[in-house]
Amino acid sequence: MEVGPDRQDNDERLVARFLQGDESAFDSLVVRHRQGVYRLAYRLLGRHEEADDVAQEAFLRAYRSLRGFRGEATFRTWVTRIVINLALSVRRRRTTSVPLEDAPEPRSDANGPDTALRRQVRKAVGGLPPRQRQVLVLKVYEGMKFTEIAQAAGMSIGTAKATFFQAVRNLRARLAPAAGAQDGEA
Amino acid sequence: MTTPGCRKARDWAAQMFAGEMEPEARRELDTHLRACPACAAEEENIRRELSLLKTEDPPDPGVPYWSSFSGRLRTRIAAYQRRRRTLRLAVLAAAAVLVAALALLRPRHEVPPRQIAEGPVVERTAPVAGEGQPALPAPEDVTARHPAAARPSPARVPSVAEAEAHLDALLRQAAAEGQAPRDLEVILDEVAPAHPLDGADALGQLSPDDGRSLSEDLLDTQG
Repeated sequence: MEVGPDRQDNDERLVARFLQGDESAFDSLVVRHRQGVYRLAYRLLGRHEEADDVAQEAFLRAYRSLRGFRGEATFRTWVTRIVINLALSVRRRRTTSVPLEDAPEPRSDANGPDTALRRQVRKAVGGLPPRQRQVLVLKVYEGMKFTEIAQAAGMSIGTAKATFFQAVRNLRARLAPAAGAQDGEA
Repeated sequence: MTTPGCRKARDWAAQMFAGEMEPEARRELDTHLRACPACAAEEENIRRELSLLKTEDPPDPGVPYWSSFSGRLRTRIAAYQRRRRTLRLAVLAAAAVLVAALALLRPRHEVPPRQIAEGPVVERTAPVAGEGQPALPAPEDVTARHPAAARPSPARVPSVAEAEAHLDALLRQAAAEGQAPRDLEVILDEVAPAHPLDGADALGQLSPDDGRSLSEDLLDTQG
């Protein structure tokens, strides 16, 4: 049964309630974070089946490990870290690589004016090294601060910043011809 | 021409997009962009491309997917809890067997070694047989007075409930001593994950073998 999110409770309260034995509090945490967890997994992996499996497994791990959650990071950052580690594991296990650009089209760009450039950008992101892609996804899509990225990805703040800049540089290098063509068309 | 100032400015452009830029660096960047058309164009490209990314959403899997999400997760959690109970029972049964085996392997009598070497004290102080005293008891009689010497110690095998209580006491003691009271099932799960993803450490770094289940490893070793 779906449990609607209790907007009065924040994550901290829900975690506390779960630790006191209230299982429905965990259901509320799931409902609150499931879309974000799935989207992050999808952005890191580019496949629905894998993203679904990682999302489910991430919540199962959260359920198992919540007793050890000390609240040093937010629940969201903590779950993000679980997703990142699981996604890394899935990528490592892949026998064939599926680039992000081969994934189904995201819904926002089907008929947009920047369709070609958007496809190029997605392709360039898909070609980034995993760590750079992670940090870029966390920064750009998830809107995380570098301190949160550092916690979620298990790196220092300085490394998170440097990795983000490397990712942007890399992205720019890959996109330079496409951007030039776009500029020429404009 | 790209100068060190340009390279710094382009990193800063990303930082500005990231929304975490010190005001002083922001002023310096603005100054540079006003003076450097190449960097200004680059900054515009970075902004546009990252903005494109930002507005993208993955395909929505749809209402049926979301409505079944929690139910499927509950099924996984229930399976995990069943596995956890089974593992607990298996571990406790193994512990009980181990305790029983240890009890059977204990020395068969508890007569102090000195007495074993020199014989029972009573033999040295007893009068010689045939002097009106009763004869020394036969070996059977000695063992009758020292039952422990004649049969294994009657060590009782603890019940599963007792073993479980003992285990819980150890965990509580470990917690009281400041050690992390790791759940036995968690340890077992790490040793023999049931799900292929269980090998990945949820909170820490991944080792090269993470993500492989024990069964996969066994299959590999069997060729």
